[in-house]
Amino acid sequence: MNSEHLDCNAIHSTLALFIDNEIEDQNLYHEFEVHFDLCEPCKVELLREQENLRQLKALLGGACCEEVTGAFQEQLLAQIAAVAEEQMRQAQFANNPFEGFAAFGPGFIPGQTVITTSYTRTEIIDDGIHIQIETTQEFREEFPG
Amino acid sequence: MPMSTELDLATPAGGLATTESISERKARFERDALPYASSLYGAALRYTKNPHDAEDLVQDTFIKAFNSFHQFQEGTNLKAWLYRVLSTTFINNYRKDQRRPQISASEVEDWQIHEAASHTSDQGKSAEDEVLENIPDGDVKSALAAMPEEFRMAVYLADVEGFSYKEIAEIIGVPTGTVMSRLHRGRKLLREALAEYAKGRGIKGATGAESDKRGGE
Repeated sequence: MNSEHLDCNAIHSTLALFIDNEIEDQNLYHEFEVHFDLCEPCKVELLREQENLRQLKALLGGACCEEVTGAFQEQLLAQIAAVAEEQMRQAQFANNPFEGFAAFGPGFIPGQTVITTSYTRTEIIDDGIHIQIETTQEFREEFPG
Repeated sequence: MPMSTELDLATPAGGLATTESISERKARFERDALPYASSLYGAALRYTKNPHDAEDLVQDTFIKAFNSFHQFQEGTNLKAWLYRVLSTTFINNYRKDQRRPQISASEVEDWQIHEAASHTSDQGKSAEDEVLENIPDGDVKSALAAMPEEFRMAVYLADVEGFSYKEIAEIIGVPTGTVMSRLHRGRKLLREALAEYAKGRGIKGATGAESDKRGGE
């Protein structure tokens, strides 16, 4: 027995989409439901495939639940901390100690090239009492190709 | 590293300038990303098939992820993003054959054993009808490990980790249609292999038959 819009072949070839909840179109999803209400063989196939998948997932879930050890987690934390320290070290190296200059971003990624160019111009004005300092700093980051 | 925008991995507006310090980013990473360690370890085991390499892979993944964490937009799909890093790290650094994964000689032998066995099996009771229960975990893991990688990972990501087709497609970098066909075929292969265990044959490492008994996909 065929529903008006979806025939059994269409249902059969796209059954996995329905079972995996991958049908986003609400109208299409409804068509599937209507067909299963009207078509016993397709309904039987649906239930069998759903049960097969349920068994498979139960077996997989029961077997594949490995966990990392506490020691390994500590190791991960330590490595992340080391990477963060390196990032901070590179950021400090690139930081401009003079006021008014904002660092380009909070961190630099190891592997990138940071090119820093500083220009300082000092002028002694008047009778040597006033000193004017002008500094510009150029940042350039080059990403590895 | 190249990431698809479909996973909402856009670089924050303004490029590199953010208001988060490195310490804050580290804290955010520890809070949000590190809890996935065991989950990623399970996937890494399916990729590398041995615990030592799996641990190394997870470590490399987390380091790589932290180095790119400034590019990850908070609130978007972190789990899928981490799995994407895992997948690319494995492909770039761990997979022995950088192109199509080779099927090992022992796996071919297992298939041949399985093929021979299946010809003497009960007629009429196909793998579809076999009830898959009470199969030891070790046998489940062996059956999974014996599968070709592309099918194994599609099944693992969908049926153990619960990713959607679209997420799996982003993680392993193939079209959604490819995910669907790998998943369909992978489940069938795995089911056939497990059916052998259920029948009590207990052939170690047996996998699904290379040719589909009911006509191929």
